[in-house]
Amino acid sequence: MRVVIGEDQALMREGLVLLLQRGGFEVVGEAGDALDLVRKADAHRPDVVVADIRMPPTQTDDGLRAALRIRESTPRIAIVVLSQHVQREYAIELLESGVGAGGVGYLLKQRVADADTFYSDVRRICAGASVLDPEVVAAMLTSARADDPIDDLTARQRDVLALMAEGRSNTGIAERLKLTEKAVIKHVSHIYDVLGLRHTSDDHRRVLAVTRYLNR
Amino acid sequence: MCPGHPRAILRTVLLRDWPASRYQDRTLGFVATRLRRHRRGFPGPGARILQAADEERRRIAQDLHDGLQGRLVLLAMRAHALQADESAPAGVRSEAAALGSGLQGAIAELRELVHGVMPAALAERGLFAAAREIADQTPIPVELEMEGSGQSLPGPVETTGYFVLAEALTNAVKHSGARELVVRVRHGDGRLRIEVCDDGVGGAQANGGAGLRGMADRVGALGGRVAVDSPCGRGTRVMAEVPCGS
Repeated sequence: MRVVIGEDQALMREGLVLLLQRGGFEVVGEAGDALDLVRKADAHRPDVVVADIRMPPTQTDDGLRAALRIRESTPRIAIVVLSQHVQREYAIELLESGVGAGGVGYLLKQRVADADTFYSDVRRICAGASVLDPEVVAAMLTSARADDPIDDLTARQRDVLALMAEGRSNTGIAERLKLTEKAVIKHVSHIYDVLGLRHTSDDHRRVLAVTRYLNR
Repeated sequence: MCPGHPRAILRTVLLRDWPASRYQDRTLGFVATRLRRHRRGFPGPGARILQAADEERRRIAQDLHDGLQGRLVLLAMRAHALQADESAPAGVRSEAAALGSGLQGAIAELRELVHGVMPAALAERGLFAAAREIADQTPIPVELEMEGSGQSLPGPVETTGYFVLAEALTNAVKHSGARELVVRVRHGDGRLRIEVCDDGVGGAQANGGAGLRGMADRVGALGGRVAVDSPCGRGTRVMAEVPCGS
């Protein structure tokens, strides 16, 4: 799998390059700022772009904006953004950036330390999954809302929704929660009902469910 | 003297716990003049101190982000790699595992620290984004209304606005017993206006706690004012207004 990396800190960039190479990824481009990242993604057309959110020129959310631009011009490129903190707003923007062949991922930067989990996350994202960091998921499940749809979910269904947001398949969720796949499918369909997605036949209903929940 | 008069504000902000004296009144007169000048666009000493403090906070947060956080992640990477190395002795691998999880904990703690110095939402997207984030994290449902752009606010105004929100929301959660909060953030006509209302027990006093006093100090230093309306049993409304030049 071909990767372009966007990271302005030289040591971290080298670390990411070595890490991804060890995991069998081919690093075809490295960028130290957001403009260069867009250029290199355009030139190399990789399978996936891995980018830090905070980058030059403004050191604010340049990396995220670059990733969204890349997504807009080439939807098949999967996007993994890394950050030292996570925000619901960014998760929504990524998930709403359109569903292409490649998925999107939003992870805390410290997740790269556990190499095997990171590799498997990146591969799932390349295969089209939307993966949110457990930290975003936890924040989304605890934030208070008046007339909250989550009140209609059982504790078990909340667990299922959390794992859906982390990009797990029904099989993956069944394994994690030690349930049968049939039971998971039942929970997932109840979640769709609660979030008003009963009549949607979209293949990406899982992503829609998470987006709707984040947007509540 | 009306409550909005600079001298009255200074009396509440600076001298609330001190007995009055002629010397203080002269000092007050002097500082009040500076404050009036500030309102016409000249930065006063308080505003300059806040400006310097704000720049310092942003610099510290950026330095921690660029330096320490990244280094800890790189160290955690090495610890995890050693843990996964099948040729290493079992004892070394389990030590590496402990080291790795300790580093993950330190990174999480540092993230909290950086958030306290300068919330990332504020540094990256400004006050409105930070308001959405803090409303989102409040354990009582918040109705958030925002008007104006919220863009290109001077740094100290932005951080002071955030400080007001954080303080008022924390108080509401801790003391009000409210079931719902309403937060209004308005930016326009050269002012930033913030209002936090709850439907709780009321009875809060502007000079009651260190938090509200700190809020009045910061807002006052920028030439703005804070008002607290909190009749017993009928909720609390905290209002802050800061001139921002745009």
